[in-house]
This record gives sequence, structure tokens and C-alpha cells, in this order.
Amino acid sequence: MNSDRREFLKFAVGGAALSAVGAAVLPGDSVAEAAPAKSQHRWGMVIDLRKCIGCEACSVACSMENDVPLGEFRTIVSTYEIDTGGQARRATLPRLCNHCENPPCVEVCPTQATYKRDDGIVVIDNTICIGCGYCVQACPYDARFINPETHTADKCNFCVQRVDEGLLPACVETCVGGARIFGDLNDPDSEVSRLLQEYPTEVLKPEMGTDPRVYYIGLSDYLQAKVDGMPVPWSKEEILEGMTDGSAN
Amino acid sequence: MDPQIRGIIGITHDVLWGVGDVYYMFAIGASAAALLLAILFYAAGVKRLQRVAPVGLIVASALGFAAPLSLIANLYQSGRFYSLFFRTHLSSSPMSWGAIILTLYILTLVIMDVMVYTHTKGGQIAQPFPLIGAIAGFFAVAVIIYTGIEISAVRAIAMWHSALVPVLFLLASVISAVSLVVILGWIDRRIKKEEEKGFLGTLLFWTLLIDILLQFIWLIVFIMFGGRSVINIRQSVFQQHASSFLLVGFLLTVVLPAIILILPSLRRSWGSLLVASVLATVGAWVLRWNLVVTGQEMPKTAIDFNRYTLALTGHDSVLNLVGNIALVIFFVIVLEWILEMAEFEGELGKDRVSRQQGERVVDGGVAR
Repeated sequence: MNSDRREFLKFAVGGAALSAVGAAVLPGDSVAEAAPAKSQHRWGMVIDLRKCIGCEACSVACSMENDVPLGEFRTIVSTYEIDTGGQARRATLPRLCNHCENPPCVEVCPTQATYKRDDGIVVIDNTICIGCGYCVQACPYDARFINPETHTADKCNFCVQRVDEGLLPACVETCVGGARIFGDLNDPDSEVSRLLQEYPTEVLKPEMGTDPRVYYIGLSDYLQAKVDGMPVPWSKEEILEGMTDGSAN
Repeated sequence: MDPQIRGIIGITHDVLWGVGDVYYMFAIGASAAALLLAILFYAAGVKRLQRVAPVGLIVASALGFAAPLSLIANLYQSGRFYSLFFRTHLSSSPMSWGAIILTLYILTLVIMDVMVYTHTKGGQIAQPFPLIGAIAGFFAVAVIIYTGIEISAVRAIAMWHSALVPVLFLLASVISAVSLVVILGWIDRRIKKEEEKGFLGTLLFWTLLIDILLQFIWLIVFIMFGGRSVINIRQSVFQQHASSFLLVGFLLTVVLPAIILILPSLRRSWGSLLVASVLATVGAWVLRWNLVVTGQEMPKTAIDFNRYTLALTGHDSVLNLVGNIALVIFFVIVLEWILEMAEFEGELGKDRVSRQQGERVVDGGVAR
């Protein structure tokens, strides 16, 4: 694990240096302009569901790192109770932007405010986004929302600000069970590549043809597409009301 | 045996495209189809539509000028709407095409208004203008098609991703345009002849019949073969939104007006034609509502439905809608006045001219 992280940091520091040069040469502060001109990397994530305990530390770390407004999430661990013939078990499913190879959100964006970088990370330039919401509709994974503070589309960007500096995404860094593994899919020696070779992996909604770059180990068929079942017994509105009333505790 | 799954932690999203977007699709569709009606006379010279055409042009212009403002107001970054013109994404985004098509459509609408205004002499247009009409007609059809494609291009929403959607939008556009022309033609008393009412009634009847067939097919396909969303679609159509889909959206506003207009004599009667037109207009709205808003309520990943709350004020609210409708009424009044369509439609025109001349004499008398 440690050697992999050192490998990761070695590559990422190189990328950060490139991006720093890019940022110095190119004016402006948008994500697009800060991205390396041509990346050798193809970032991806493997989520080992056998190790996920559903603690939501990743959701909290993400919200803290990216200043995600209350009530919205760039990543969340959906949690289910699955009852098979009287035997109930708990299943967790961390959800986030899948940074698809063929992202439908990028296709429909009318101003090209959302785009895929050379390293595969799908980002939004919120200085360009007009807030039409078309990308939110097009995403099959419910990974996007309109940020009520910036009034633009928002979603997970693999903590691009950290990755470009040679760090891991906040959710990966904080994951207590080590269920989230981030790395370079182009590097055959990276941990993500090794996991993809060693274990059978699944992606969400493969029928959509989006070719996600977030892979799951141990994903149940029942959770792979839209989940059919009984809904969560409480609503977001009720929880938010409780928080603002101070009655949540 | 399928397991029972219960959600413990999960989120649902708010519906993004609400009443303002439904209104835009309704209004721009009605505008474009009404322009097609007007073009039949102004460009193709179909004489029987001489009195219908000016009403069509007023409906097309009033809705066409006001509706895009609703669209801009519904962007979360409205002030950046102009970037649609220089940051285009024409290779794959229907919305990017739409920005260009819509602009050219409005431009041709203005040109049509000016042409009709300048070519009207003694109650007749000097000569039809087929080239301008053909260009305007092309962009009118393009506007209707792009709004349908914009919706049907979204694979992620099962209810939207169907080749039938643009066709349903086209039919709903024709239905709303004919209905609004009937209603406005009755209000401003331009449409009088049995022949004109009969033409509009017959057009409405046959369009409604085709709409019944296609809506039926569309519903059957989703109810029976909606893939992983089929459970939610059945819940929505038969339980949560049964009144909106089946009672109001289908029986009362599509089937009933078609039944009302089933006899040719009833198509020429103001009473039946107006009732059918009002119902059909509501139907054209409800179709968009069921598709756009209810379609978004279908969960993509979660178990529970997404929610739509109709706001009274603020972004995408009832107040926005009322404001835009007020603007449409304002445009109708201004266009009625500016275009002076009555001048070239004979009897009513003569009435108005003589009335205006009488008023001038009276005014002159007062002045002396």
C-alpha cells in the first residue's frame, strides 16, 4: 500500500509541476486552464464494497474539502437493507461521479462548460456554466446537482485540486476501511490496475454505454442499476428541518 | 426469489425543469405551429385561410417573442445566456442547436411581421412571399423538432428517451396552435365564416385523433416495457399521477375534444369548437407537464421518487409564469394594433375603417 502511494505521489507531483507551469503560462482561474496540456495519466477509482462499512466519512470529508452546500452531496454512501428469504443484511454503495469515458453530461452541455480532461477527470468550469441543468438530466448516476450557492452545475471532480498537487482525493484519504482506491489506470503497476486484474469488477448501469471509470468489487446485481424497493423512511426536507430547528440532536 | 430491499440512507433530487420550462416548450411549440398556419396564406396563398392567417401570425409572434424570456429566466445563471452564441457545442448538444435555431426563428418571425405589415394594401396582401415564408416555415419546424429532440436525447430518463417524443411534441404544438387561433379568432372576431371554422375544427379533430393513437402507443410502451423504471412508471401513471396522465392528460383533454368535434357540423359551431379548443390547449400543456416534470420525478438510481414543489415566487415560479403570460397579452394587443390585419380581410376591415373614420369626424367636430 505504502509503495503504491509513493508511486502515486511520484506521478502526481510530476503532474502538479506540469499544471503549475500551465497555470503560470495560461491566464485565468478556471479548472480547464489549470489542467495539464497532455496527461500521461488516466485517473480512476476502485471501490471495494467488501471493505466499506458505510460510515459516511467520505461524504463528510468531501463536503469539507469542496465546500459542498448543506443538503447536497458530491458523494454519498447509499445504504440498503436487503432481505433474502428472511435473512437481512446491510449493503452499502458509495456513489459519486463515474468520470465516464463517454460522459453524456459532456455531450449535452451547450457551452462546453463541462468537459473531460486529458487525464479522464470530468470537470465543470463554473465560470462558464449557465446553469441550464441539461447535464444534470443527462447523468444516469444522479451524480450532479445545481449548487444553490454558485448557481451552476456541481459534482465530484476527484478532488482535482488535490490530485493536481499530488494528493489523493479527500474521500480516498479519509476512508477508514481503505475501500476507496484511487490511481492511474494507465499504470499497470498501480493499485487500481492490480485490483482490476485480480478481482472481477462491475460498473454501475453498464447498459448506458458510458464506460465508467469507477469500478466496484462485490457489487450486487440488485444495486447495479436503479434500485427497486421500499424508499428511505424519512425525507431530506425532514432532516434539514430538524437540523435548522436544532432538533436533530 | 427477488430480495426485498429497503433504503436506509439515500438522497432524492429536486426536479430541475419545472413550470417555466414546461411553459417555454408549450409556448414556443404553439408559436411555431401557428406560424405554419399563417404561412399557408402569406407564402402559399391558400385563400380560405385569409382571415385565419393574421390571427395565426399574432399568436405566433406574441408567444414567440415572450417564450424565450421565460427560458432565459429559468437558467440558474441567466446573465450568462449570451455565451450560448459564442461557446457553442453543435456537435452533440441539442440545446446548443436550439440557441441558434431559436434566434433565427425569432428573426424570421420579425421579418414575417414586417413583410405582412408592409405588403398589406386595401384589405389584401399585394402578393404572397413564398421565399421568406419557406425560410420561416423551415425554422418553425426546426424549433418544434429541436425541443422534442432536446428531451428525447436524454437516455438517463426512461420516459424521455423515445423517438415518439418529438412526434408527440409536434402534434401537441399543432393542437395548441389551432386551439389558440380559434380562441383568439373568436375574441377579436376575425374568424367568422363557417368555412374557416370548419377548416380549423377539422384540422384539430384529425390532429387529436393521431395524438390519441400515439399517446396510447407511448403509454403502452412505457407501462409494459419501461426497463428498470417500469415499476416507477406504473406507480406514476396508475397511482401518483393517474389523474394527470389518464383522466386529465388523456381522456378529458385529448379524447373528449376529439369526440366533441366528431360531427362536421359541430366543428363549425362556435360553442363546440371553443370548448374543444380550450380542452385541447390544456391537453397540450398537460402532455408537456407529464413528460417533462413527471419524467424527472422518476428516480435514476434511488428507490424513492424525486419531488417537484411549485414555488409561488422566485426561480421557476408561478409568478414568473404569470409575468410571461402578461407579456404575451401585451404583445397580442400591440400586434393587433400595429399589424392592422383587419384592413385586408374585407367585411370586418371595412367595419373598422368606417368606425375609425366616424371617430375621426366626431373628434374633428369636438376640435372645431
